[in-house]
Amino acid sequence: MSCLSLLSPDQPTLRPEQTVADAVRLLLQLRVLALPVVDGGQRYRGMFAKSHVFKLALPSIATITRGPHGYHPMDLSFLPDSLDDMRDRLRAVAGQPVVEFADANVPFLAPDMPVSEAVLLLHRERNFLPVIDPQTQKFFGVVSTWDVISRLGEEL
Amino acid sequence: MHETAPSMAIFGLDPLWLATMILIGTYALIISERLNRAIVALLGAMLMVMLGLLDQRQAVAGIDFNTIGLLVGMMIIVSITRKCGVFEYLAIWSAKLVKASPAGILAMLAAVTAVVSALLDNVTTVLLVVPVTLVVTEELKVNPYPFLFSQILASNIGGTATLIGDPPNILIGTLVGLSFNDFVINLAPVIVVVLLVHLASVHLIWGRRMTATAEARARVMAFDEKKTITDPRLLKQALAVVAVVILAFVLARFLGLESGTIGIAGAAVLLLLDNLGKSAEEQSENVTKVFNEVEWITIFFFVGLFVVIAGVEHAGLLRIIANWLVEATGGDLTLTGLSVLWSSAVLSAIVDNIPFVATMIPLIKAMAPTFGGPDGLMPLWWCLSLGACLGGNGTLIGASANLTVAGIAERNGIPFRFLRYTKIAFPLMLIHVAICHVYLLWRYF
Repeated sequence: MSCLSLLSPDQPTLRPEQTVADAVRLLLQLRVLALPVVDGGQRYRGMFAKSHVFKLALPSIATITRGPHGYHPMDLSFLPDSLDDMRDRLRAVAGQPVVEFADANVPFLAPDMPVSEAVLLLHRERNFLPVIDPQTQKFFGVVSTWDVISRLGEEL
Repeated sequence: MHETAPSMAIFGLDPLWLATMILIGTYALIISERLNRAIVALLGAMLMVMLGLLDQRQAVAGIDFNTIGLLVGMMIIVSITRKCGVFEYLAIWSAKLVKASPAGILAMLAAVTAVVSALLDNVTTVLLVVPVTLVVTEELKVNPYPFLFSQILASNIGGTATLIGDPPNILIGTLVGLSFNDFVINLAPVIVVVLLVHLASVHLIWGRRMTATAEARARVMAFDEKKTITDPRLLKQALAVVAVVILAFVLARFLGLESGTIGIAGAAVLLLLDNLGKSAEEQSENVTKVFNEVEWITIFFFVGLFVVIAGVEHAGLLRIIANWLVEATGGDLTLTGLSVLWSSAVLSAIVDNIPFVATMIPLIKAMAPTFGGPDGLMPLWWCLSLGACLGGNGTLIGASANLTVAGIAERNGIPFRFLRYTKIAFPLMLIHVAICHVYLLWRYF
């Protein structure tokens, strides 16, 4: 059984030209962890997740977790920022197209990947995984932890 | 270092040619960057032994413990000290000292980088100062590029001033037997001048046109540097150990201690203090974390390189090249010194300066008879150090700190390209070396 069987129907997506503000509103409205950015030809352009909202509200260097040998993610205890300051940072990019901030490098599932592998990957590191054809970048949908739990919980 | 001795090279091959081929092959692979430099150096070392140019005892004797001990010891000391946040404290404190004026911060953070680089390795220094710089420039809404550019140059300039500031100096100091004081007395005066010229240059190029709103400056002034200190007890212990280690370097001759011993002793004491009162499991986890911070690639690179150099020295190649060089300069100390200065500077801008310096040291030592013994060579060591350390500023690939800053900048969305950097850095590097040229002529020749 392929991971396509885990996809729930009618999933919401973002168009590349929609703004960051649109994306934040939709995340809030739907209470989802991430939204895929997909163009008119159903081509996948990346994921815009809740972590991107936090990233845009913080000094960018503080959100970089990996670097050369000896690099340690920095600590912001010295920064007296209020929520207003963070909101200002987010507001500064609110009108920009969401595709500029979407991450196209998140792990993904190929459509022929078995269900067991998809569940294992969700267990190991992610709350959601887009299903994409690696050759054509065609987007099929997003498998989330909630999709899997609801399927596993059937008939319990 | 090593006497030329009959070789047992396999198949009766000429050891001189065999050693030369291994040296050229090792250098070519290091320069090509197709293979990790530690792998290349270890392969070169292995060939020197397997092909009979050195036996194992000679190969091990070629590995200088002072260099390895000093490098490992300082890496451990720095990895523990940095945990307490003292360097971030220093960077924020210095930014506030100039009332958060962008031009003032440009100069202050470069000066702090230079001073810290004189005592720590340059890569660690920029890894600590650059993130704070990026938060400050984001708050001030100024272009971060000039700050990062300035800190790269400052780290390599500051590192030139002391024995422990830059790997070429560690090599020269330990292999030649020069003390911490020798470096400070002979190099620090010109390095202060070079640093001031550097600060003036970046001010003229960028600083004088930088502005920030009063509101943005107030935000930086509101930073609370005391919050960066995560462990006040460790801070006191680490600073005390660093102070004692530096004092031991200053008094090394009087105490009869070598630099490798001082580095390792400082590391051992700080490890002890950092683990007192912890359970066996916590100690094991903590020590593993600290050891993971040691740059093992650099350490094994040095180990392999020392064996390769011992091999070519043993085969007599370096003595032949030294004789050629002496002939080419007519045995003139001034001409030899200035040739070493400029060739080291230009080559270090393009290739890794560590193998270059490691080869030049025995080569210069072999010139001793021409220049009246080891004391007569002293000016040449300062030429080599100034050329090799400052030359690294010339291009983005000239020193590890340059690539480290560029890597962090690019991850943060700040373009940091080779040509853009070189266009300003290379002429500045030439000016810095020209200042050293005048200083060396005035003081030694």
